[in-house]
Order: sequence, then C-alpha cells, then structure tokens
Amino acid sequence: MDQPRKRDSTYQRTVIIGIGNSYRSDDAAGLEVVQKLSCVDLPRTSVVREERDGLRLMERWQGGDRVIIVDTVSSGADPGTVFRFDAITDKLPSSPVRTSTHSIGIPEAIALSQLLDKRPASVVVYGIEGQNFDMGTSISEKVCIAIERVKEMIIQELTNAVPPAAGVQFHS
Amino acid sequence: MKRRTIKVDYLARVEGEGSLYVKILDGAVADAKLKIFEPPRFFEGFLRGRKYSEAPDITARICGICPVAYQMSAVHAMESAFGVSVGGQLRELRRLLYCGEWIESHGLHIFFLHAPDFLGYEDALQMAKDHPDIVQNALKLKKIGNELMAIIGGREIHPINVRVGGFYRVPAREELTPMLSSLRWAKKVAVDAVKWTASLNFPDFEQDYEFVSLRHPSEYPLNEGRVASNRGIDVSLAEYENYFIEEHVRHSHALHSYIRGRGAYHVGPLARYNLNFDKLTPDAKKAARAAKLSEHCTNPFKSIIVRAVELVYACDEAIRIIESYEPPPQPFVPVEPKAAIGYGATEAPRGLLYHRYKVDAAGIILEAKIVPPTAQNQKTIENDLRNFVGSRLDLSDALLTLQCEQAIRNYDPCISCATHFLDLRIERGSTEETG
Repeated sequence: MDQPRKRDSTYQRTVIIGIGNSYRSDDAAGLEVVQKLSCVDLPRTSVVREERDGLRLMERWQGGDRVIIVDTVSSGADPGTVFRFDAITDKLPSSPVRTSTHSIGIPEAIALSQLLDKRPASVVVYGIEGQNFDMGTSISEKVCIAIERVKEMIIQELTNAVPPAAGVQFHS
Repeated sequence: MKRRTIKVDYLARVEGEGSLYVKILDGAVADAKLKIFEPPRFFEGFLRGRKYSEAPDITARICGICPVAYQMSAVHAMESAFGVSVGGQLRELRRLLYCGEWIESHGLHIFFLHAPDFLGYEDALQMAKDHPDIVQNALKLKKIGNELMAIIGGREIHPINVRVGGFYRVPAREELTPMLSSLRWAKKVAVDAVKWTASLNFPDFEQDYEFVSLRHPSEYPLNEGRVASNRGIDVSLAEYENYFIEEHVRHSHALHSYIRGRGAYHVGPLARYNLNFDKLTPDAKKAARAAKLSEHCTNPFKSIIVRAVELVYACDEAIRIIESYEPPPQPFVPVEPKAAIGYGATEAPRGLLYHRYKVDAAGIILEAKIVPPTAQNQKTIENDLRNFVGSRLDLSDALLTLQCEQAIRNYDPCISCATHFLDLRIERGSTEETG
C-alpha cells in the first residue's frame, strides 16, 4: 500500500504547509515558520498557509511528492518543545477532539489521502508545543525560539541528504 | 422500574458544541433537550457602534461554512434600510456566490457528514475504505463550490469582496467560464446523488411540521422573497418579528424561536423544497420525480435527498448565470446612509437567516438582530427527538442512540457556527427511582 520511499534528492517538488490561527497567539507558530521560509530560496519548494480547513490539506499539497507540515501542538510538554514525525512510518497522535465539525485534523487528512490514493511519497509533520492559545497576535518567547529552530531544521532537511531522525522530541 | 442511560460523549459531524439529553421515565419520553453550551458570541452586541459597511465582513465571521449567507442577509438588510435596489448582473453575481456556498455546504453534508449514517460507518474516513468515490465526490464538490466563492468573493472562507450595494470588484467573463465544465460535472454527480440517496433506507418518520422559508414569485429562494409557511404565513421581512419570537431557555445559549401562538417550526432544505417545488429547475424536478420523491416530503431523514435536489438546482442556476454573464459596468450601486431600520433574510444552506439593523443618519449601527437557521430549528429538533425516541423505545440503547444522532444530523446543525461536538445522552428511568 505504501508508496516506495525516495531519497531526498529525488523529490520533484516539496510543499511546506503552515497550519494555525493567526489570532490565537502561539497557535500561529506554523504560519510563522512558513512566513520565514518564504524568504528563503529553496529549490523546487513552495510554502502555503492554511488557517482553517483540514479538508483542504490534500488540495494544498497537490503536486508535491514531499510534504512538510508545521503546526502548534498542545501535549503537555514544555512550551517550545519541537516534535518531528514521519507521518508515513510513525503513528501520529490523534487530534485531541477527533470529531472536529465539518473538517478533519492532520492525521485524518493523511489517512484519507492514503485511502484515496493521493498521499505524497513523504509527509513529515513538525509540531511546536504552544504555551498560550488566548485571543491575540503575540507569540510566547519559547515558542519564538522554537519557530526559528524549526525553520532551520526544515532548511537543513531540504538541503541535507540526511534528514533529522523521525519521531524525536527536541526539548526547548 | 428499569432505568437505562444512553450516552454518546462526542457526536461527530455536526457544527457546534452542545449536548442532547433524552429522559425516559416509565417507558415514555419525559424530556428531550438540545443543550447548547457553546458560549454566547455577542455578535449582535459588538455590531453596535460599527459602520453599516462593516456588517457584511463582521457577520461573515460568524460561520466558516456559510459566511456568504451572513454577508447576503447583512447587505440586503442595509440596502432595505437605505432604499437601495441591486439588480441586473450584480444581483445575478450574488446568486452565483450563494450557489457556490450551497454546492460546498450541501456537497459536504450529503457525502461526507450524513452518508456515513445511512451506510453504517462511524465517519467518512471509515466510509472511504469501502466507498472512496463517495468521499472523492464530497471533496470535489467542496472544491468547486469554494472556487466559485473565491472567484466572486475574493477567497473561499469569509469572502472579502462583498459590500453593501454590490461588490468591490466584479469578475471578468474569462474568470467565470472555466467553471462551467466543473459545474457540469457537479450537476451530473448531483443528479446521480438524488437517485442514490433515494435508494437509502429511511426510518418511517413522517412529521407534521410548519415549514418556513422565503418564497419568491419566480425563483427558488436564495436572496429574496417573502417569509412564507405551509400554514398561511405570507409576510414581508419587516413583519417577521410579529410572527417569529425568540426566547431564552435555560439549557441553551442559543435563543429558541417559535411562531407566536403556535410553537416550533422547521427551516432548511426540507422547508424550502416543500414550499417552492414549483420554482425548481426542470432538471431538479425531474431528478426528484425520477427518485419518487414527492413534492411534499415530511420525513426529515429524507432531507439528504432534498439536499441533493437542491444541489442539482444550485448547479443549474450557477451554469445559467455564468452562461449569460456580462460584467456590470459598475461593481456596486452607490449607497447613502440614513437613519432607518433595515431587514434582510436569505436562505443559508441550513435555512432562513434573518437580520435586522437600526442605523443612524451617519450609518452607525445602533441595534442588530440576527436569527440563524439552527437557532430556529432547535425546538423542532427537540420535538423530533421526543417523537422519534417515543416510538422506538423497544430498540437497543446502541441502535437508538445511533438513530438519534442521525436524526440530529438531518438538520446539518450549525450549533454555534463555531465549534466542535455534541454530547448525546439518553436517560431511561422511572419516577419512583428519581423520586
């Protein structure tokens, strides 16, 4: 069922998707990461923001054979902790509320894309542990540091043949 | 006496946060409540003091699924206050924008949210394993509806191109015509969906509803019309509040609506269909008749078929508008504010959405009232649950619970136009036990 894994250098096009709500403080971390990456010259790579709709993820990554998703997480870990999952080989933690309304979460979107034979060859998910999800546009200090760190990790991942180890937590 | 409690902690595939509670005492339904604990959102409050021109953008934020409905009711209300009439291609573009929302919303509800109930799946993800085509259709229809909304509205969620008097910018013909092939595909899927949904198994559950929707002399209602019911109501929007009353009930943060002196009523696709079958396009009527769907349908479970019929209509209407589209010379009609009260009501995918605004001479909003469709349906949903459970007490808790969830989803409830889940609890017991 799984598509064969490719060496990094053989990916044709990478799509980096930042997910979050820009009016919910640290929830904007994923959006901030792609904002920063949009200023970096990365070959065969596009960056997109997705503020709301998990159902649109499949549309968003259309045309990409490697997808990197960045989102804020709330797992109880120390704020600013960075998680990295290979969504093809690792089991992603389920959304805390799986029954989200008219939409779906990242694990469900990936599962659905596999069922519909539309899953990219590689899907990597970065999670940044948030601290404050109140209304507002300011981001916590530790999360700001993590944003910079994830940006660098993604650049490294895209330019280095050896990706960071999967399923690893990087503490703040 | 035996006491039974049925509980579903996270009922999926509805929009909003609430719970449902059914209490059965001595073998009869003693209470059925749709409890909405989604915090009040105070939109009516914070519209006060804002400019009339901000109403469409502020109210669009009430819902990510039906922002166009909020924008349309807001602009019509303001235009009625200022005595402005928007006609011609601008009016057509508004209908087209609304078609986009119907296609997106109905497509998703039929195939993604409601179909799993009828086919016996926990959710669309489980259903996709055996019926990937159904889920593909849902996603494609959603995309087509969203594209239409993005072309006319500027973006698909919370469009930003709608203004009182028209639009900030109108699309060129070349922007719209590429949508025709997608819409023709969508229509074919919709026609097939009418046939397919009609083949599903429906509980025998005919209800004696008072249906309420807009009614227009020549159109299936989207943007305009008088408020009509199957029991004789036929009033202008300005008279709406003489007949339809809101009240606060303790178990819901959304106000309940009822018809003065009568009680619950039903808004949404089933109401529109029953009151406006004659205004459907020939192909939509044909699809309904081929599926043996009567012109008068009072089984709420069959709303899935009616949504498919409305999907055919929305595709037909969108194709018609695009084929005859000529960009209007001006993107909007100029508007001069004056002190007045304005009324607007349009047909959101889930039913009648009423707005009233009082504005001052400078166009500042002094008062706002918004009555969304799901708020109006709350009493009817509770009545459905009461009647449904009452006639099926012999069913197992598991099956009864499942069917109750399905009965709620008949309304595609947008409980808050905001959040996440609904908690369903059926409690069985006796008066002796509860003392």
